[in-house]
Amino acid sequence: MNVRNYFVLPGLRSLDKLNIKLKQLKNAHGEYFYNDVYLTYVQGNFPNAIWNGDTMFFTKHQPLNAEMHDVLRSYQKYSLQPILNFANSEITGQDCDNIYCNVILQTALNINFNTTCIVNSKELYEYISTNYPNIMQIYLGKNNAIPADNTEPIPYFLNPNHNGDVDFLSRLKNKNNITITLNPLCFNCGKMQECLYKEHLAQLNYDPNSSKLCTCSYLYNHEYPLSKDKFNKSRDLIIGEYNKLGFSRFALEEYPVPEDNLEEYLFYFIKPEYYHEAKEFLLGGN
Amino acid sequence: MIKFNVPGLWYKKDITIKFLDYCSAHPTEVVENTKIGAVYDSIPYCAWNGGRIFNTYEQASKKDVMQLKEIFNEKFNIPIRLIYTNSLLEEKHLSDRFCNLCLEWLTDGPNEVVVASDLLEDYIRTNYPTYKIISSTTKCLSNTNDSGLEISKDYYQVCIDYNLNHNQEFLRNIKEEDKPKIEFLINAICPPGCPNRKLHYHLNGMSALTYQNSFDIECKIQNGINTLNCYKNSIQPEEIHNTYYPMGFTNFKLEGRTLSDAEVAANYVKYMIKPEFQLRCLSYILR
Repeated sequence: MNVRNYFVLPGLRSLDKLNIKLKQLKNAHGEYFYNDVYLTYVQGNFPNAIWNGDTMFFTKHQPLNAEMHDVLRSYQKYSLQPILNFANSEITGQDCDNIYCNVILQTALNINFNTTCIVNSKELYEYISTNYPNIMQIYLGKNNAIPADNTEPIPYFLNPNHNGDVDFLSRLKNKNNITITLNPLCFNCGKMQECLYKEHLAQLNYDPNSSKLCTCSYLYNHEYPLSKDKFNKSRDLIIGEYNKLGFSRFALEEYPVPEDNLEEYLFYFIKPEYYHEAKEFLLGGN
Repeated sequence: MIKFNVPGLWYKKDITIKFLDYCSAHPTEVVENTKIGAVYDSIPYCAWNGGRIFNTYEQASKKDVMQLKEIFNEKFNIPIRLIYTNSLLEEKHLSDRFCNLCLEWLTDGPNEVVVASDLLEDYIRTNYPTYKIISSTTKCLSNTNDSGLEISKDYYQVCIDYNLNHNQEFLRNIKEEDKPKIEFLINAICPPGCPNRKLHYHLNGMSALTYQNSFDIECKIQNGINTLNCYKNSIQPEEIHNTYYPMGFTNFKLEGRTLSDAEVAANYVKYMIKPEFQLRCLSYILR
């Protein structure tokens, strides 16, 4: 059966070079990849954006318009559609006018490439709908709940706490529109929402020193297992089980150590017999 | 006391701190009756920034800003002067989170703001009343009547247009009680009467709001190439001590946010260090 699995890559800005190389590899050596792999989206943000809804992304270097344009243009060239994570839950109405975030949106619009935003604030959702009607939006809502009647033809991110819940997954409607994060770092952690809230506040307050409040040492000491070691099954089996339930959209989470993202890409995308060649290419050896 | 307001808050912070440390360690080498009045710059990335654009940009964190407060307000007892001179600001820009956070974080110090926009000025006066407000030279009020009117307003200081620096008639007509609030830009690189100056500031403001760092403009001093007319409005140290200070003027601004460290350091020692110690001071701070 020819299954197509569509993947959302992480690290829109932080992993942009790796992501572009991955697409270049697919173009040059499609045979290295599992047959079901379709790389379609890239998710994330530019640094220092206060609307950012992921873990805090702060860099000393402030990108300007030209840099944002170059990154998005590269993705356009390689047909990776951007999903901007604007799901900061602590945004107020006044933050909708934030100059930098509006420049990001305007840059995306100017490139005229299908761009989607994930938002978690009703004010921001309405603001973007009014001012940027051509930008598609996913509205998460306060509890990241999937609307029962979701029919949007764009990836909707399932809360990873449901990943192993076969009953729950079976009951979901419109599975074609739901994206499952295959390698969540924080899984079944009771403090996940609290941590994310603190990350969102830290992002709003330009305070990277306050954001590392997760007490889970495995995350911040980089003791998390990689997918190749975490699951007691092959990649085909992992994805195959979701395919059987009707899911074919998947995302990868960005890992704090850059090299670990390469390993995750190899595990999920590359046939084991080509690991060496693919790794060499992705590290710039080709 | 003759006060020099220097571009040492962010991009020239390191050189300025070294200079301040040197002055603290060698107080007898400092020209008598002079000191640094304030350190100025905009803390990046600042959408309210005007006056200058930079080749690269940074983003400061809360920790960075609090460190500036610790160093300048607490250690050296020097006010921080925020350059918020973007003249293109609209109502929607006033809620910029980072600019407001900087004002919030620095509100309990002896700190100051330079403004060029009436909208922003009113906003800061209402919401951050502890800040002293300075009228910016980027308003380009080279007409003596306009400058006179500006001086009469409720500003802590007014940085007058550098084209008036040597207009003795204008300076003599300034009221005694207003003289302490006059600030002179004493090393402006721009040639006298530059027709592009206001447009240049306008475009710099646009850059800040659009996250760009270049616009085409005819500028005789692009790429640091000077013409014969640059620095023509400058005021030399001996003029300050022999003419301006005796007249009652005490505030002098050194530009330099986009000059090299060497040029900034050279200006510091030229105006604030006794001649016989200038080379020693310069080699220390440029080491």
